[in-house]
Amino acid sequence: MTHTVAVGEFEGPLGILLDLVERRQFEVTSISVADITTGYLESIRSLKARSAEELSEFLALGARLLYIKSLALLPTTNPAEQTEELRTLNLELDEYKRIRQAARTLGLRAANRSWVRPVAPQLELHELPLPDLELSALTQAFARALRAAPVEAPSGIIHVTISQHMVQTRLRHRLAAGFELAEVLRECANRLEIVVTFLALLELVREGAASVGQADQFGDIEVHQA
Amino acid sequence: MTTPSLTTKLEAILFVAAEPLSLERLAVAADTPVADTQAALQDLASQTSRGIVLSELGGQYRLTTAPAASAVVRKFLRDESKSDLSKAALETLAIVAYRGPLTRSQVDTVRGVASDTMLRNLLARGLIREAGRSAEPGRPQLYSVSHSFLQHFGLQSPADLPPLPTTSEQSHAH
Repeated sequence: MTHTVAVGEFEGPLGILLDLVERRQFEVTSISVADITTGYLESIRSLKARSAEELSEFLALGARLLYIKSLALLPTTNPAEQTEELRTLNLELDEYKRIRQAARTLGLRAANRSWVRPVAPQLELHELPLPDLELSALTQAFARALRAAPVEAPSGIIHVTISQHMVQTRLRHRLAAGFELAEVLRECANRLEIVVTFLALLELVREGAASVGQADQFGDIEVHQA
Repeated sequence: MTTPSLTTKLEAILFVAAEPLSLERLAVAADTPVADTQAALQDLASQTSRGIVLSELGGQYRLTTAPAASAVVRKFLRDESKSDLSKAALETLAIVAYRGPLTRSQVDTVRGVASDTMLRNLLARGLIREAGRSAEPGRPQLYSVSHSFLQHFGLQSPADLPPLPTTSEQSHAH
């Protein structure tokens, strides 16, 4: 026959034992151990453990209680052993009792919780400042973009062969005088040529032949001989 | 403008800090000797009538709202969530708070049940933290409570923990 004990919240083996002990007296003694062991074994019989591992924890304490109980029944056994086992068990129960009480108190304190500012002010915003930005600058930029736009959209497939090496050589010749990146890019006929020119320039920088600089924010990128 | 006091400077630094700051970092930030910094922090910690209080754990400092103002802040934040910590979680936290730093097996001994899953959950929630390793064989991981633990329970430092109940011998002495 099985019956479920209404347990509001899950109790571990020590919790069950502690409830039994508190109902009877203050600690497990050689006199009460038989009674308490019976009570404990009854409690865990009706228990619905969630796993075999969990069940083994309840059984382990049950076995321990039975062992302590048995020590009194066997006359040949060293009487000091039971005393020692009881002392250890009561120490453990006592520690658990204090912690259980402390946990209850702690739980009540959660009502008085504190908060921290979840996010501190960002120390470095990677947003660029925009000095002297006026509407006229925007219209000028738009006009520049219109001028730079190809007059006619390329139709169909353009077959061009541009060698990066070739472009590189061309740029290398102009390094001594220096040039602006925008100027070179304006000379490009199409997007592919821009890409190749850009790659050629990167190669020159990598070689150490060219150095690039920018005097002011959003200013022209100037290319010089390194 | 008058020169701000050290306490004022430290409070301002703690206000903008994204994480708890050590005494040393605060001393460097305020450009003051450690001893003076410590004295000023004590001054700050003693100002408990304010809405913001100093919280300290293991020599790391941060500002939090005053536990006394908890109800009004909760209402303002419309935070109606109750603490969802189970009885077992509270017990484990109590063990780590009162007996820590300690190892998983030491927690197991007090609770009488295996605590690895519970400790993992509490670690994931940030309520406990790894606190070095024990000198025992195998050098097991040690656990102690975190700053979040203090805030969750409205404690300014581990010293604010309610005293552990006395042993049953004493409590039943009557």
